[in-house]
Amino acid sequence: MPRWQTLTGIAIGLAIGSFIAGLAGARHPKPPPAGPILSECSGHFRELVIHYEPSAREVVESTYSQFLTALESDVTVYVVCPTHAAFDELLNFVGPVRCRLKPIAVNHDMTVWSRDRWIALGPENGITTLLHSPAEASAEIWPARAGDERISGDIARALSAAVVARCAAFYFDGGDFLVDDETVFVAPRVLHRNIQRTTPDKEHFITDLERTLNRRVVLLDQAPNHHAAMFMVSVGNNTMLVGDPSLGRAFLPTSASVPFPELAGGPDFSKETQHLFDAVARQCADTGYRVVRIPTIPAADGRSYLTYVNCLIDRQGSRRFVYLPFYQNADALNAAARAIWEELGFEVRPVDCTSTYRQFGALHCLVNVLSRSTNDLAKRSAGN
Amino acid sequence: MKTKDLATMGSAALVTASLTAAALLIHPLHADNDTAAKEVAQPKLVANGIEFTLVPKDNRVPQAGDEPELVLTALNTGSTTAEASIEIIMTASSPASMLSRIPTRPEKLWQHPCSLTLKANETKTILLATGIRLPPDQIIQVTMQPAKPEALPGVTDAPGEVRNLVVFDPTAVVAQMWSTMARQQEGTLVTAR
Repeated sequence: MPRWQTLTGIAIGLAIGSFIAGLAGARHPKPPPAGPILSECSGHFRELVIHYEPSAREVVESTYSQFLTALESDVTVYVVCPTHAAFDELLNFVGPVRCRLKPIAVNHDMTVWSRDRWIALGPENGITTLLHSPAEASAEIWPARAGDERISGDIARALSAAVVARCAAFYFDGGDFLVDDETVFVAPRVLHRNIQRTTPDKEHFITDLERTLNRRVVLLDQAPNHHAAMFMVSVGNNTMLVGDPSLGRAFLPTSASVPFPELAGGPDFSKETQHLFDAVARQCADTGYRVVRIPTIPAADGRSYLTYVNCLIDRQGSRRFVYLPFYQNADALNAAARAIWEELGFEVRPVDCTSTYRQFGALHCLVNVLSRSTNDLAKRSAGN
Repeated sequence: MKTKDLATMGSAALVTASLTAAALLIHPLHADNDTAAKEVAQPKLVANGIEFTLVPKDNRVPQAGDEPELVLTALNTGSTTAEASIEIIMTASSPASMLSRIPTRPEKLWQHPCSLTLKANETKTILLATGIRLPPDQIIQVTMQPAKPEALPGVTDAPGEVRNLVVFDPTAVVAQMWSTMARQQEGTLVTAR
């Protein structure tokens, strides 16, 4: 039988061991619970995040100026930039705005593409979770992209009372997800990045995604090899807008002497590409959505799109606004796309994306949404 | 209290504290299920009961200018003879510019069909010489997928087809990925595969 000395020692040991484990656990606390991934078609903008990097000024100057100028005074825009000097430069070229611009200086390389860095999981107990990929694609050969890997952590440090950053168990770009109030549509490229890398198969992947994102997941079977918001957007009311190259073709000038936006390698109206856009539309319809098609002109490089779904939706009560890309020298195409949005009940706020589409993105790719004013956010405000 | 009693208590406390702390830290009571990505050590494609894996010859990461050789291993895990057809596709992509949103669309460098028949529990190993010289500053990806996935209309390598559109099957598995960044002495292994 153990003697009293041994029993006392064990009791003391249990207490000390638990204390040590508790201390270590406190250094790595359990992350707070997270709500569902933020819908892109509900609520009014509350906090947005953009990036500004001076070497990309020519790419984003016009887009940022028009977008930021159009925002209301109750919107806060966090500007992630390498230095405070970069933030000052942005303030100078944007000029007077009604929204609040706040810098987050990070002191490292970065790109201007905010959307892909993280996804926001809705606030729980007043805290928003930024979920980021374990690594950025091509970071090994792309220093700015390697810097991008750190940005969700930078934001969480800057807004530590209300935001935490967490690493996902799967690889993704934020733009791979298209989210509405019920469903997350996921581009096929996400499965390709993860199958037999972080997940054994498609079924496990969908289950894990649904648990992490707290919404129904629809993994697109076939789609153009690009981010989801380049070819589709959910506008609410169970309606999906899907790009259609065949509709865009009608707006291509018949003469080369007529100015038109440059498309790398020429426009891509191939049946292969059309098939991929149509496959997205078909799957959305099969999922129960009303599908509306909108003109789109993809370029043969597979990356540059004249697209009108890469937009931002803002609801203010019963009014619905869309910040919609337009492209110089494509007036008829712009007008056709605008008419479709207006027919859907949106007030259009056009934003010039002529200089961004050549870099493979448009407005949605540049702007990430940290929070929207919804009922959940009212609770968050009350919690604060 | 005697010195011997104190020594006994101290020893028991030390051992118990160590074991308790270790157990709690290894298996936290409130484990977070959303931890960092758990990487699959060796990706494999399973087609008709045959497991395929693919590694570079001698496990050496090929560099820019190399003509990579790949070792394909097929293992029939079933109890009867099985046959499977797969294709292996090597693609390359790179940043179009340091300002762009994403790398260029992957372009096909090499494609190889492979059909094998294996007896129960049999393993076959095949050396595949790609015969293509790797370009510099690219992300190289080698993907295995079942042969003849649902074909897209017009997606072929017919003469005159220059678009080289790569559409992967939903079950496609990236077997290897590495970069051929020119300023490095050796290719950089992007994934631990």
